[in-house]
Amino acid sequence: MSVNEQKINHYIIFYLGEEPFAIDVMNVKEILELSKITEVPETPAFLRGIANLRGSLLSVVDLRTKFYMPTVEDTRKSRIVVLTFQSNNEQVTVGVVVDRVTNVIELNEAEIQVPNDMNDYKRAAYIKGIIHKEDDFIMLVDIEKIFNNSEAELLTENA
Amino acid sequence: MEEYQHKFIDDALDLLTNIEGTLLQLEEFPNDANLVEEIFRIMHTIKGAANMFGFLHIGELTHQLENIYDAIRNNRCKVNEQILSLTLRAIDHLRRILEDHNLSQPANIKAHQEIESAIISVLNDIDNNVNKLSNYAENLPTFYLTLKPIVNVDWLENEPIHVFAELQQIGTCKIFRNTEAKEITWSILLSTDQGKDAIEGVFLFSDHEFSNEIFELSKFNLLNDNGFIDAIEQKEELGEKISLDYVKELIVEAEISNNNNVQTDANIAENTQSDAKFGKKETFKVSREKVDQMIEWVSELVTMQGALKMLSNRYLIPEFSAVAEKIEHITSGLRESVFSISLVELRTLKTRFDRLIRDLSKALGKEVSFTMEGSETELDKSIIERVTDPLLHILRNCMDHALETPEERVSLGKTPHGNILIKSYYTGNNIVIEIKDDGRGINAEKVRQKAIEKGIISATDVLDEKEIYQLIFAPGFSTAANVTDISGRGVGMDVVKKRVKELRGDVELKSVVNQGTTIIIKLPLTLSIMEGLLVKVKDLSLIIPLDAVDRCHKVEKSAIQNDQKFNASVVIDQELLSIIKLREKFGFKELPTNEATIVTVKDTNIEKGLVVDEVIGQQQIVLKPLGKLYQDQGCFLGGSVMGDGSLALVMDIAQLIQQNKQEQAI
Repeated sequence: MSVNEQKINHYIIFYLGEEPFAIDVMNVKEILELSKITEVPETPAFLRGIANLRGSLLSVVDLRTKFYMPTVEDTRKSRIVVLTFQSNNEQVTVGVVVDRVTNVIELNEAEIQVPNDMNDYKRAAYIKGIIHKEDDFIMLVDIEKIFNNSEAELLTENA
Repeated sequence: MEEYQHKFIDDALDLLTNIEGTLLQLEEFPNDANLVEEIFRIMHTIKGAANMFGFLHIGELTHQLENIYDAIRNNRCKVNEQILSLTLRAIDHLRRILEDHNLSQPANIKAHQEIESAIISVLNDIDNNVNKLSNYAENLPTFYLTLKPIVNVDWLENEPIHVFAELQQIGTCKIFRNTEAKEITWSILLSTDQGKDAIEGVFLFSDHEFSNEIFELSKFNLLNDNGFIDAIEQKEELGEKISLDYVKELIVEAEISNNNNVQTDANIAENTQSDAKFGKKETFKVSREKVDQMIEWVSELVTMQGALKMLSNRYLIPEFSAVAEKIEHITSGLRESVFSISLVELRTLKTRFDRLIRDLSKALGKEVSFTMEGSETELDKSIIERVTDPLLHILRNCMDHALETPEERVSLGKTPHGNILIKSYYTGNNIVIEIKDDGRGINAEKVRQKAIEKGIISATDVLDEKEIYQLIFAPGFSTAANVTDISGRGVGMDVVKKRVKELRGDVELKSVVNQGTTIIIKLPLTLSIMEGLLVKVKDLSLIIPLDAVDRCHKVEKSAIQNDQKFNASVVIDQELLSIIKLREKFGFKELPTNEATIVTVKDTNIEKGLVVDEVIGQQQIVLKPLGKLYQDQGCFLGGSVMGDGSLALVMDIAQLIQQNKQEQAI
């Protein structure tokens, strides 16, 4: 990509523990306070269950589990970020539980560094880039990869 | 403009389907003037819109078709097989050229010309035959007039010729002079296209001399009806008065003997009846998006209404509770009507089935009696759309392969006409559509041999009958010895199965040689409203589909025999019942009580007792998909939003029993 290309995007910043993450606002449909999530028995741990999103069922995924982080109790600051993205030409909607959502930042795409030396190889697969902001390193999440093709396919029905 | 053209295509497709249905009815009731009127009207609508949006070829063709139906409705010709077949052909053609309205494809140009010339030849025939066809051919209303002199003047012997001359000018008339008790009156039969006003105009300047009465006798020209005129002239010769009552009587007789299209009372009654039978509800189109939006809002309303009810129960303020109750009532009504919007009766496909069977029975020379049972069964519109092609394909197979020719059937001791029945009903969590014929049937052994030949199974495979018939749905399997025009278009039963599977349904085939074949398609309900039993297991709300529920029991826990994990049983009503403890299955701790609540469920002959914490009661729910994510994991059909906004999981009993079987096998 040429350095001259000035492409400004907005990103939502959320935290899992003390680690900040960013998601392109274009993929964020809404942010919900944690409502009751109904667990579905006999399903994998990363599936928190289903929530009532204005009468339709929203699949909710636990992002900590997905990122191989220890699970914690939900707090008053816990949020469900409702993501929407295209997968195989279909609109997929899914909620992810995060510890807290803080703010929205404006970024030039040039400010995003492509990761080359990630310590945490397991999580690296889900990271698109790293943003150096003030003293923090914010990890830009690759949504499509979190819900890789096969999983995204599984989720389409919930959209 | 392009947007409008798309809209026109959409609308035109609907209208063409309407005409098609009406035509098939007309074939059955060729004298029903309302049906002709309907066809004429729709043609007219299509013509207008087509010309407006630049579909000129379509406009032209519908204009010519319209002329035919105009002739029919004006009794210039009668509905016949030729006209019906031609119109149906034209409709198919119109459908095809909607996407190619400039006729860029040579095949379309050719078809267009053929149809056009066929229509023109029909129109020419009508023009040539117009006078032979009917006694009432001219569309001239006939009036009955009586003339009675007011002033007893001496010209009474001289008939009021000037009046008669004027009447002759506006139409054909027949004048009868009646002498009764020295009083002279005239009865006049007049057929004219100028209406009652014109007749009244004739008497405008003579109303001081005559009193007159004018009745419209018929919409048709009775003076051309020889039988009618003869009868009247006979009466005149006898010197009797040609009274209005007498004329009316004659008309009824004439109509019965002529079996004409004149609308008598009886005729009208019949029309009303067929109207009711084919009663068309008024409809209009709404975009899917709007409906979905509405459903979302209503669902939210239901949630809020639940909250309101809770508040009203908590504070117990009478006025407040009354309002809350009213809102509950309104909300549930609103919810039901909104959700029913996207449900469509299977009946809507009848026209397409009828048409296919009509055409094929003519092409194949096979007589068929086709019936639909339970066609009021409702399916989600999107399911109906996606299941139409598989159903049509199955019908084609029935007509082509399954049913024998009339001669063959008679030699087998069957009725000369074959029977095809499409039956639909709800069962458990499914909608079942059965397509049943009484044709040749399929020999299971032949299917097996063929499958071995094709390498689908090996000669040593042991299959039961059901499994053998499933082979018919395997890719690359086709029992038809010859590829035929009708069903051999490279689409096999494997595609039918694939389509049904895509809808998360299933298809099965049963057959008895020489008695017939039944194909059973099971489809899920997706957005269907269903009845369920709400039960609790720990803090989980579960819905057991009511069709699967047999009965509920409470037993002492000590009565339960635990043979091993996932395999317990209890004796209820002196019968051993195998049970599934849902807490154990879901990995919850067992409930510390001495009693166990057991709901007995049933799926195709297998009975199971489900141990739950508590039975809450019966509920009507709207089933929503959980998503494919959960599909292969648990034993749930979907979820449902409860009145208070909480979620319940709807159990898939068939799946649960299947899983239990596998768990026990391990």
